[in-house]
Amino acid sequence: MSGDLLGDKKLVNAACLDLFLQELVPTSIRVSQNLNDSATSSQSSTSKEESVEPTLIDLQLSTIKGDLPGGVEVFESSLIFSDDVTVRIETYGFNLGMRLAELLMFHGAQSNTYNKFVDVLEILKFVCRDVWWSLYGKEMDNLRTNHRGTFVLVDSNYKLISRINSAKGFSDTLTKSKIYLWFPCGVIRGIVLSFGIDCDVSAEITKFPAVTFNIKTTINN
Amino acid sequence: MIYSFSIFDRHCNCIYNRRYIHDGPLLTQSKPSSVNLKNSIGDPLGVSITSLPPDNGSGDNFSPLGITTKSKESGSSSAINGPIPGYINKYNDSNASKLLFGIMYSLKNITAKLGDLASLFNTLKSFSTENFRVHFMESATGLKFVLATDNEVDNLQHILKELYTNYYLNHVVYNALSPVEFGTDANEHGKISNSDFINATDSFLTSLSVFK
Repeated sequence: MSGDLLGDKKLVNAACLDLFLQELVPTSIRVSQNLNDSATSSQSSTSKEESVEPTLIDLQLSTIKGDLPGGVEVFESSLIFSDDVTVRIETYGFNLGMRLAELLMFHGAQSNTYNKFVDVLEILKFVCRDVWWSLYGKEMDNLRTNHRGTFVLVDSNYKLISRINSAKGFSDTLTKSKIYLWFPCGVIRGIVLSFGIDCDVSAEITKFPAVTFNIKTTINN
Repeated sequence: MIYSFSIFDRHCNCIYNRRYIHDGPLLTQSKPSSVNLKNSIGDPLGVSITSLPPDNGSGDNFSPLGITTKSKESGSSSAINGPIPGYINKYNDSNASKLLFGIMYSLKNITAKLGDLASLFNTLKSFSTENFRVHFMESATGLKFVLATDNEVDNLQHILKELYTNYYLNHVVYNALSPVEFGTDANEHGKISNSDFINATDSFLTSLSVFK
């Protein structure tokens, strides 16, 4: 089946979703930075009253140097590689996956597309077709399995990173787009777990912007 | 013939400046030490076709609009398969670039005031001199797209629109690692320097029949 399980109803504008997901990594870094800031100055922050300022063009978004609206200096923070940031991004994806699975299954059951899954392979097929379709408007390009619980999904043009290009060169582009990949890893893990199967998901960029997702489940079929 | 392509942001800074060299050998690197004052002040439209050939052969015989007629340099002249010869983001803050912006700015304001019908909005599309034509488009957000060509080129509004809606949007706005706000400081503002944007606009502009 191809097409959106959610039907023709366009619930979220694709461009809005793209731009929103772009903010994933910068926002996550800022949250970590703010948490670090408040941890180091915990005694003074209690006395200082929180003031809310309107966002202006020259207002620092966090204490990271040069972090101004519309800029990309936030990516230069060393926090980008910290577990705090990557785990947070993965958790966003995970929570989204858990909920999205429910939503898609509800609509799938209504249209009698899906009622239940018999094995893990079908769940992964569901990820490849319907989850990817509803998130990115396309299906995964390849699905392979060793029939021992390990799956490899390939998206030859992964939308979230396909237009990323750093002014500092290709290796910088690669390093920073890898951080974004924690999000789809979390989505896949959330989907699979909502069917009661625990798995580890990792992603790698094989040939930019192609992304390979490795999924290791404990099920051996 | 297209000589140069620039983008100015709403803070009046030149955030992208690309000059194409026609009929000249590939100039990959030019030495900043040899910048010749005559050229960097230049005439505002950057017409320096008959400017003196460089004495030391280090080749800065460019003009502010990017019109380079002949170069004494030999050497790496693999202009066919290599990168498109010219300069990228080298003259963003040159006086010529600022003068060009000034012309566009004044003309734009005068144009808007022409005509007696308030409902007829008059916008600047291009202006021409004896040898050159400068094409101009401004977005509602204040981005200004400027193409400098020779007088043979008629109307490039659709090209400017394409540069904005397709190339700027895809390689700057949708690019998470590219800023969309380039700073207000006239001396230390950011520039569009990601390779996707440069390569895509280069191949788009060079593929046009009016380029050569």
